[in-house]
Amino acid sequence: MAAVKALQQWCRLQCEGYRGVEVTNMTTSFRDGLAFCAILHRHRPDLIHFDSLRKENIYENNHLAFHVAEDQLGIPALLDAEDMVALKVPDRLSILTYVSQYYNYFHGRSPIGGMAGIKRPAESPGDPPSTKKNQPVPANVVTVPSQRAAQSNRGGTMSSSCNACKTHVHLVQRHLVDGKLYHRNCFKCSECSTILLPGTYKPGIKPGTFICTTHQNIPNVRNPASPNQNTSTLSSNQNPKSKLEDLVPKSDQKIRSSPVPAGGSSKPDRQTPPTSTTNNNNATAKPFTISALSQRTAEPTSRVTTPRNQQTTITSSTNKPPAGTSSFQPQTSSSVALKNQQARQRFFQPETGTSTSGTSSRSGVLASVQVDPSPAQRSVGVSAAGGGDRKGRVLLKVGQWGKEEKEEKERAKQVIIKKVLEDKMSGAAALKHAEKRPGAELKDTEKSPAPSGRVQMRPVGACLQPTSSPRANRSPAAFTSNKESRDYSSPSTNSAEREPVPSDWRSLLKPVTKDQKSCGSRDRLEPQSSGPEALKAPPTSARGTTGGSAPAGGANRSAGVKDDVTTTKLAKGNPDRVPAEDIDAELQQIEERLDQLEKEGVELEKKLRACEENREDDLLQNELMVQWFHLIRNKQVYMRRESELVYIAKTQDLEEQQPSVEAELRRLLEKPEHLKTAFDRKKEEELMNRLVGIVNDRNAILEGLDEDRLREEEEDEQLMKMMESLETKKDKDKKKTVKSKLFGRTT
Amino acid sequence: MAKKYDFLFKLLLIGDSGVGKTCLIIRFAEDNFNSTYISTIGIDFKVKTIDVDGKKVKLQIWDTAGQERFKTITTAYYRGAMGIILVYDITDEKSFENIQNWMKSIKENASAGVSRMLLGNKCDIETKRKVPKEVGVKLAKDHGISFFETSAKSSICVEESFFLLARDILFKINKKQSPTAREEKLTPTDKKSSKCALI
Repeated sequence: MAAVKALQQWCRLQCEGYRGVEVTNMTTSFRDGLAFCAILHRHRPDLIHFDSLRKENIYENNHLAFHVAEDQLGIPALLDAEDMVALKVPDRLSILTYVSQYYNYFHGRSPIGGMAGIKRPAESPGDPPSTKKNQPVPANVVTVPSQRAAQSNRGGTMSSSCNACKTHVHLVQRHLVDGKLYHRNCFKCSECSTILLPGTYKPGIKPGTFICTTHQNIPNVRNPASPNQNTSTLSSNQNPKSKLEDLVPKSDQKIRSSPVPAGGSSKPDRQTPPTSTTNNNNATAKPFTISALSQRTAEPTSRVTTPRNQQTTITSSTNKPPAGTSSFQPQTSSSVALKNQQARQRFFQPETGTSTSGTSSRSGVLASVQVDPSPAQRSVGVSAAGGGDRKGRVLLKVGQWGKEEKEEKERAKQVIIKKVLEDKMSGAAALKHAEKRPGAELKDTEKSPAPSGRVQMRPVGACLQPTSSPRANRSPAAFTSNKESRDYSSPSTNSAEREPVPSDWRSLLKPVTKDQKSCGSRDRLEPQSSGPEALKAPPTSARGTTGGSAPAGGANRSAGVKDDVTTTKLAKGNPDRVPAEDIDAELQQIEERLDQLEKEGVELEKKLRACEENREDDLLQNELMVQWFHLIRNKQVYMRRESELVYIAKTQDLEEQQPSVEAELRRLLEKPEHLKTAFDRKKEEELMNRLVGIVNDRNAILEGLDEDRLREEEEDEQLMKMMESLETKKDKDKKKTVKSKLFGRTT
Repeated sequence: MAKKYDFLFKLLLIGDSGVGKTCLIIRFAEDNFNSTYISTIGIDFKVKTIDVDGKKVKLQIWDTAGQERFKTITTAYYRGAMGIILVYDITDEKSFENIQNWMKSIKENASAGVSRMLLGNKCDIETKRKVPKEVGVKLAKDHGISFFETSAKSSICVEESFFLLARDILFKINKKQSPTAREEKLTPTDKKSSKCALI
């Protein structure tokens, strides 16, 4: 299977030189987690202290890799560290899929930092300890793997069924949060049922639940059942003065906005007064546009809102119990989700049944797969192995492996190793070359049919990136794929072709540049639904008024004037601003796309697995695999764009929050010192902290972007160097063959 | 959001309250001016990307509150600045005298190699001038830094001054990176900013 093989080669190269890491297959080679760590470390040595890792700490290694990848690079953790411990042979398709995300990330580097997500630099230390953050691993987990395995076995459902809806989660739908598995669209705010995106949620009141970060601000309009329903009415009656009052621990709003133990929630809530103001006044057009908007339109914005203020009040926010709600296109998404679930259920009944069987054949399959010397056959076999593994995964068959299987595996391993060694001469070298894109690019640009260099990856066939930069013409993927398809795969040499021919899967990853230019930022995604349109009107007006009205409505008239000025300033100064409704609309569409992709993915996974089981036609299988990678990549691109939008919205939200916090603070500051009460002083301090926090958060986002930029430069440099050194090495021996093979006859 | 620049420079404006730091920034970043005085609270920044000698430079311009009460907050931001602009008001002698204090503050709080620049703002109000240009020129010279008289209101020399500082920083960076390559000639390019009296 060419596609798989290519990916494996890539992994092998990434892990080259790492102690104790050798990628000889796409299952057990990854089990101890070191391979993941090595790949991460190769690209981001700052994130992982590789030398401190020990091979036997399976759980820890995997846990580390998954979390680092997710938290720092925004690569969703498809895999669960516990499963890696529990399964002697991890599910192959899962590994392939997960690793392909690494590949997509490190080779299609988005300037913003990731394919699937964006690290959230603005998260200040005072952030509520994110549930996603590395949790201290109980010591016994590591030392007593069997125990851990037993645990996860017990919770066998955990690794394959959704924590929310209890039905099976297909690979493409996997969404791991805090070690718990969800369908991506089952991971919802417990208050408003909005699908939660990374960086936009926080732990809910009840353990195991999550809610939008925005929640104390935004009463849920959409959800009548929500306790906030009355909130919105209440709040709309309140005048802006309530801003000040918000700070006073008396208000009902906290409580009503979320059924939290009053003691816990109310106190912290108070510390985000502007936010709460927003929701109170949203009816009267308040400054926090995004939140206000989202509330009005009950649109996806709300999840974007993620008021930074939480982080702003560093100390206070930590223990803030989530409250309030935001509503977000619950209709579409949830209905889709529902559909998905039904579909899933349908799928799953039979599938679980089958999975029990075939254990014994697995290792055999694996062997045949990996060992097969002819490239074409190889590819087929590989995917078959995946099928077997999967069953293992699904059922969490810990320790069910017969001895003879082990032996078989050993044998297989040896063959593989031999095979790999053979490969190293040609394949690995070729791949290596392929990896050095920048260098290669320089020398062989003309060979690459597509504009060489990196491209901001985008889903093939879709126009997703309105704000994309001119970098679009740098496309390594396209370039690389040329060689690889030639080297490893079937006769099809035309890498430019995007048909799901049994060529290298990477060729399919080739960024599609053509659509991109033509798409204006407005119509990037063809408006499929009426949603975006409907949205437009009210939000705009809301935003228009936001700036002035909030502060002006405040107690201090003179301050109001100034505030107006400030806000105007701010509004004017933002030509780059992406209108909130545009963000909403795009998010909504991404959501729909994702749902669609997942639906397709579920089908595809079933086909793939069936294929593996029945050992069907190689070609068919490779084709499916290529489709699969393609799909995963597209999903990743959408998700990355999604986080990018969240990012943009966050910054904009911060920028919008700032004037009103400032206005409020200004009023206090103008009060003669002797008239200030202790409370005034305290509040002044709080507001000051908040203000500084907002500015710092904005700064952090900016610096985060810059870090990515610098890192990219460094990587390019490194690649150049590697290329150079490779050059000299190659000169000695295989230069002619390898290089000409690589670059000579590309078309 | 994409990578649209080659460098990120952090500039910081300091000076007495009311000399026009915020106005300078707004003039530069947004080409705008509002005569209503709003004292800055604490700290803020604006971003503008400019082109310096063919390099895209993203300037993050930090605006500080001039009021003493915010001193502790603002000084925390000195450290990260690559360029610091000291601003006084040519119609306000006190603000000029205080430049010395601001200089001291830089010394105490900023990084050692930070680029500095002196601006005498509000040069459109010639009638109320209290600080002769020569005095400003001399002070800048004494410290070995550049000097402009600017007007955020009339848009005099604002852009030039920011560009000059950016170029200065870029020059330093290039020098550091390739000690031999001196292709970036600071002085000639500086002189280009003709109408603004540059020292």
